[in-house]
Amino acid sequence: MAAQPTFAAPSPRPARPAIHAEVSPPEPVLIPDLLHPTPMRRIDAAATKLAISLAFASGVSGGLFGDALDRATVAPSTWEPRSFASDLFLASFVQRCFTIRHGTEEAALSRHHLTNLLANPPADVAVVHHRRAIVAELAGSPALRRELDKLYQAICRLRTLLEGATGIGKWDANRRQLDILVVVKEILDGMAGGFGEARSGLARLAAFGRRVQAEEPYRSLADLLRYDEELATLNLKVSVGADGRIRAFEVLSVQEDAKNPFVSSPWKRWLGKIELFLRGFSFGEGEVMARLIDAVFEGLVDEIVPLVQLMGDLELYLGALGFVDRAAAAGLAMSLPELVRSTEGRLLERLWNPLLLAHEVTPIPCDLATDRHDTTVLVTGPNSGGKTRLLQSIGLAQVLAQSGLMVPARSARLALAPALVVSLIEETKADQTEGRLGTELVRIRGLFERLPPGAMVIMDELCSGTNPSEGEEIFELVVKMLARLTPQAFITTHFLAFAARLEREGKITALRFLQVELGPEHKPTYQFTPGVARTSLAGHAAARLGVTGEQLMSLIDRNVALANAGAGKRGV
Amino acid sequence: MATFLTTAKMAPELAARVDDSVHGRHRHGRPRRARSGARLVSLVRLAMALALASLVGTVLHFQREDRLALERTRASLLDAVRRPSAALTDNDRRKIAVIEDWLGRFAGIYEGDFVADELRAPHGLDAALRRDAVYVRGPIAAFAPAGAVAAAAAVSSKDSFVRCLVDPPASRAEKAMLARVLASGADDGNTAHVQRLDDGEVTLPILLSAWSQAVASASDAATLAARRRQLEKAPVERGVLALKSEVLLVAMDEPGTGKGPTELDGERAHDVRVGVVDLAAARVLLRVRRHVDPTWVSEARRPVYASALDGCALALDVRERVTAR
Repeated sequence: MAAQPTFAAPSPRPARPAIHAEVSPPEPVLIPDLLHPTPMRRIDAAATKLAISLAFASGVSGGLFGDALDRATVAPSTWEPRSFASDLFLASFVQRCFTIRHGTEEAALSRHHLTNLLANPPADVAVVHHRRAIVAELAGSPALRRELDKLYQAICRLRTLLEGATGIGKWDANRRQLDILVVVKEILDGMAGGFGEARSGLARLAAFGRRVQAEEPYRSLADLLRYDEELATLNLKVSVGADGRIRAFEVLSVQEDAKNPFVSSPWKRWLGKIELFLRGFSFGEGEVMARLIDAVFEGLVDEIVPLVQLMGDLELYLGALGFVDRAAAAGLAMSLPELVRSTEGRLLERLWNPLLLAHEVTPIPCDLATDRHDTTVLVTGPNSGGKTRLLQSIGLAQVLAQSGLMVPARSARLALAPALVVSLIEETKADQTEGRLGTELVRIRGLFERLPPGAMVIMDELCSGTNPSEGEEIFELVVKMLARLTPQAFITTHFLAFAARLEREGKITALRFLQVELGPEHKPTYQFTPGVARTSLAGHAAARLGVTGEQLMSLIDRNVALANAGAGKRGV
Repeated sequence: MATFLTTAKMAPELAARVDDSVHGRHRHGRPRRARSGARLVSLVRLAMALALASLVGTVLHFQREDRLALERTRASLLDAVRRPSAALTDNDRRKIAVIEDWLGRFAGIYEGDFVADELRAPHGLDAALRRDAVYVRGPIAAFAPAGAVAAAAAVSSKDSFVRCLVDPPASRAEKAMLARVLASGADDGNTAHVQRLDDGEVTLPILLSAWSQAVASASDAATLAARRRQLEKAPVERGVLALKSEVLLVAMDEPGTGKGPTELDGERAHDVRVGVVDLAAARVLLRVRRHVDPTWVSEARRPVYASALDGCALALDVRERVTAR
């Protein structure tokens, strides 16, 4: 049975997620921004408006929604994506974990935009709380989530209609444009009516919808669609004979929707056609309708532009909730972390690695607790014991928490960090000029160049590229220097003796030690306990991977025998 | 200029946007090339519409001009016949039929010579011949009931017989008669009151109400043009005089005997019936039959003047017959 997603109860502290953070704004809502307490226009409105207008007219846009979102700006952030995004496989994480499903179909999300949002978490804590309140309300209200999903589907239909003219729309431009306007009205109605009860930032959707509904362009839109659907009502009398065939057909009355502002007399409509013809348009009822559609759309286009940005916002929330759903289906819990100060204790209960889940591997959750955040935690343990996976989990949890989203843990207590620096992978590159030690030193230099005080640092196997005695010296230097920046650091190492010495001496007070827990037969349990590991269990790993003396000797004997047999055949 | 696509019920903002759309004004901007292209198409269509309107206007103008010209023609035709038609009495309009009836009677079995008493009186014949008269001469067969009076009348002119009868030469000498014949050919003065029957035949149909009604109801210029040509060919003034004439003077050439030669001008020996009828009184004043024979004409003049001199001699014979006791 899948575990239900959980989220932390709001903390009584000021940093807690507040569902009541958003109150009814006194000013009209011009932008339905769901990511920021103060609405921001993050897409290029002028370019997007032009693209929408051209797409509306021609039906071919080449992906205006995606382009606008890809170029969208984000709220000010102190994080530098290049310091962690590739090491945490952030793009892959978004691609595989952020999904929105409608039945059996999976929506095509703007992944670049989502990755950009996660890689640039807001510097303003109020923004984080704003988002957390929305996530909390959505997680707690299935009805609101359904409404949001419906809204997203409607915007997806709008995107489909705008970006690609297919089917009848390809041939009947008016029909296609009317279909677009129908969807726009559906979106606005959905916003106005579906989120009236929302108390978080979602209430902004209702405010936006109601504001647009109260204005002339929306009324004209409604009138035009009514004009298209119900120009007149015929009262008919149809007489059917005994054989079931129609014998008589009589129009009893015709009631024209005279109050509709688009309804005019037949002779005036005819004069309108003549006028359009003389002005260079086609002659026909369709051209008259085209001008009316154009006029209505022109009044509405400023309200359609923010919907492009809103689509990106919805993808963040619905994608994150889709991730929660997927985790729950795998029996993994997620929660909104409690945000605390860095001097307070860290707790990640039943933390699991999202990247494993993304690759269809069920992760084994672990607990992680430290007495405070501003410490440097040295993680030791055998190879393949889960140290690197732990670091990935910690990093991604921090990324999600900083973005105001749920983290992959049953419950969590985290402190926000002004920056994140992750160094997990160091691949050999064809153009690198330094050897392994040089590369490691460059990595350390780069770390200090971009590390502000209080940042989170995650490093895998520091100084593993040189001989242990010299590496340990550099390691100790790094650890001492890091302490001056009071980071939230997690560093793995195989310098076990050195780590044990640091633990024993206790000279660096900010140091904490975690080791991989070993089960029976010295197999890692993928849990972590305080202390320093006594062995890296390299022999176990060597045996598992076939690198014992006996196994290597058998390989050598086989190769020699094969070489001799080949020489005999050639008569050498 | 406002557009026909807006309505009074529209919000002003919407009406403005409809107007913008119709005029190709977009706030977010339309490509300049598209705007100029639409404007070019608009100008071409406007020019075509103006050309079409001009063409229609021109056609309507000329149609109106044609209609006015038609009415002017119709009015002029009706006006041309109004006065002479009004001058005719019902008797005048029946005059041709009466004359043709008399001609039929004269062309029938000859009833013998007859001279009314009033003609026998001194200057009786001259007095009768001074009255307004209508004259016709032709082959007797043309005046029979089934003949062709109109055809004979069309070729009948005021010949030497009429002139010599109304104003006889001084003597029967060939030279005297020739002088009278040649002089009268250029001078119509003494026979001005004598009209040709053909003038009346041609004019009468034009002065009847049926002709005016046909003109009034004609719907095309070709019909009116035909009527105009008919009017122009008709000697209306002389025709009216012919229709109002009081006396019928007729000469009917009977077939020739076939014994003598036929002269180059067609003259030959034959009998001629001459009649004078008082049309007003419906009474015969003179009926005589005389023989003409050109052999008496000198050979030098016979080829050219045989007919004219015979006509004049016939006139003198008639006058002698009237005055003979």
